[in-house]
Amino acid sequence: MKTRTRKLKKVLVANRGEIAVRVIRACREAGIPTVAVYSEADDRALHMQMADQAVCIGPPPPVESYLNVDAIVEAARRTGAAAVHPGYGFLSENAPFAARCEREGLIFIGPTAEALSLVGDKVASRRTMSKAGIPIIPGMKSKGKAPGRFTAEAKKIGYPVLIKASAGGGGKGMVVVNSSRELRQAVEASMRVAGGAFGDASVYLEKYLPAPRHVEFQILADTRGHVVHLYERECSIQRRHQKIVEETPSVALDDTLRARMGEAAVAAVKASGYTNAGTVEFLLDREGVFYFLEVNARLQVEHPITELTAGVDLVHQQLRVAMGKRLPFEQKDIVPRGHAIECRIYAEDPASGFMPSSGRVAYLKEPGGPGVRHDCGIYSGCQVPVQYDPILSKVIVWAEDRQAARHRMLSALSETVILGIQTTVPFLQDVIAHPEFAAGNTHTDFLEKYLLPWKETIDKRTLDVILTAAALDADQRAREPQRAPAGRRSSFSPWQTGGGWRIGAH
Amino acid sequence: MSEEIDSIMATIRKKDYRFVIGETMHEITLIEQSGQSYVRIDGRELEIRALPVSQHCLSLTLDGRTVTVYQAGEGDRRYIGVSGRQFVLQEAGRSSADPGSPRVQDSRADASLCSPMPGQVVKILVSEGDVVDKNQTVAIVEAMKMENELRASCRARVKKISAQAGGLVDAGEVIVELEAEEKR
Repeated sequence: MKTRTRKLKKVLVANRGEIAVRVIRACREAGIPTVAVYSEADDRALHMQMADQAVCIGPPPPVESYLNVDAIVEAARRTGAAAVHPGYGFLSENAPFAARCEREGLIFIGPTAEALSLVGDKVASRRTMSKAGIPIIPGMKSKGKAPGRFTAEAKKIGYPVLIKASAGGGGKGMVVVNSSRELRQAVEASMRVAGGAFGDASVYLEKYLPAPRHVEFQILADTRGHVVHLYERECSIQRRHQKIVEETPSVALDDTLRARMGEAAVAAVKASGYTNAGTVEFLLDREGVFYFLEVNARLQVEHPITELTAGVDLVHQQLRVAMGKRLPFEQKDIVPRGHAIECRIYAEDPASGFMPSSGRVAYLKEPGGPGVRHDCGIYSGCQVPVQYDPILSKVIVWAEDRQAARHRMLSALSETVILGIQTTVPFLQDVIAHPEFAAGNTHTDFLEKYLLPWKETIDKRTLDVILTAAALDADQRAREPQRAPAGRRSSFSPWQTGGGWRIGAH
Repeated sequence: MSEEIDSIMATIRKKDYRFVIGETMHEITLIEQSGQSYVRIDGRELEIRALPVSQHCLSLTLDGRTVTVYQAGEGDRRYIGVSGRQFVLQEAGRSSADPGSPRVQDSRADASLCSPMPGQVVKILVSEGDVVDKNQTVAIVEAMKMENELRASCRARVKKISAQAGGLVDAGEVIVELEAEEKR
């Protein structure tokens, strides 16, 4: 049986920042020309510089640019792009967008619109998985709006329970209920938030697992029915449901549990007709019992840690699947090695409650060395806009074992220099250096328990160093003739910053 | 005798600096004496050697230990990077000739409002010449879907409006200049 494959003669990357850079690199390696799209706030962004062609698709607000389906489709038409890679976030899990691409004859590098719809509906996918024999968190199999049903269900499952929004995630609308007295009010509150955030007030009820581990499995499925998993990622270090540190393998899994969860992940994908790259998320409770949570129908932020341990380039595999090719390996061929950790670097100030930080990156120096990978969306002198997700880059390390990986990450973070905006680098150093992290005690309450609220501390030696450096610099500038001050929002200028030292060496 | 003293004095060069880090003022003195360099911080004197590597990078040996320090900045505002961490140092006690640098409040009459975060000015609710009461909302700044009302810290007169609705501002950038008024 001969199955057709098609070429991707040009790929439009419908995203920005570090992931757009990642996808553009993969396409370049594969000899596929790329088109970047950018908003007016990104008119000097790294991703649009790296692509072969770049099209401005609108003013800064996401809804007018990176979420602007018409503008993106038009950009594809104008440039002759044959395929669209949606990255993560934005339109990556938007079934109507995938359907629109299909209608316009554009290859959507991801699952079909139908599969996206199925896995995007949290309650429907729980039903599908339950039918396929995959353990799900005990709870309602249908969403509802009538508070009465919830009482009976909660009684059956047993408190504490969790009320969740059906139409969306990110923790919005989630309310923990500890007793029947609180239930009605909790359901009403959750419905209000859900209605406001997603336009759909439907909520459902689940058993609440206190401080579980969040373990997810990477999967790849081609269009010929072959599905493999590429093992797990432990993502328990989260702040407000936003992942911060991820690692693989998970210290909580032994080989038996790993194999069972991997099989469940593959079964989940087969049950939903899902193709291309995706992730099956599980919650693991303290007794080692796992439950299906949801399918993430996209390439995830933390995909690099799987790439480094499994030895597979996931973006290349996405392109191959989109071309209709068969997966070039079977489950038994995936044999992970070593340990990998990723730290996400956000443009946030950890000392002021993680307030977003934007502005100009006055200076950037990236970490390097064996086993150090930096997926970066910024450069020295670039502008970080206020309107988007604050992820700047990811530092990913690989080493032979967890201990070595931890040390390598600490070393890489200490080499990372980002000046001009606040970033989470010092906070991440404290996370990785923490004895509980070293011990592998990573549960979803890790940060609250050990590191929040976070305060900057300056030891005496560091203070001496920075005061000396600042004084030497000020002294140097005072001796130089007056330079024209660089405007904070100056547009592209070859001379990005002033200052420098020329204090004679001894 | 005085000739000897003159020649000794000629080989010592001292310069005092003051920097604000966060809310704290720190003082440091640079000393060059007979070709050696020192710093005095908190009454302690430390020997230093500085090897410039590039415009943004310095290899600094302080008290016998060497560290690589990075710097960038505009005007009196310096970003100093060491071991993956960044510190923002504002030079104090010099006149701000650089229009881009944020104002350090060094006079009590200056009750100017600065944006607490980088964002977009949504609205300016006053005009130049207006008198505002304590806690009156003067401007609204929005960033990452968070709105911040900037209020006057005391009764004051609007001296100058330095930003406009729809404009982008950085953290610390002055939006409205206010001059405190005596209560009549």
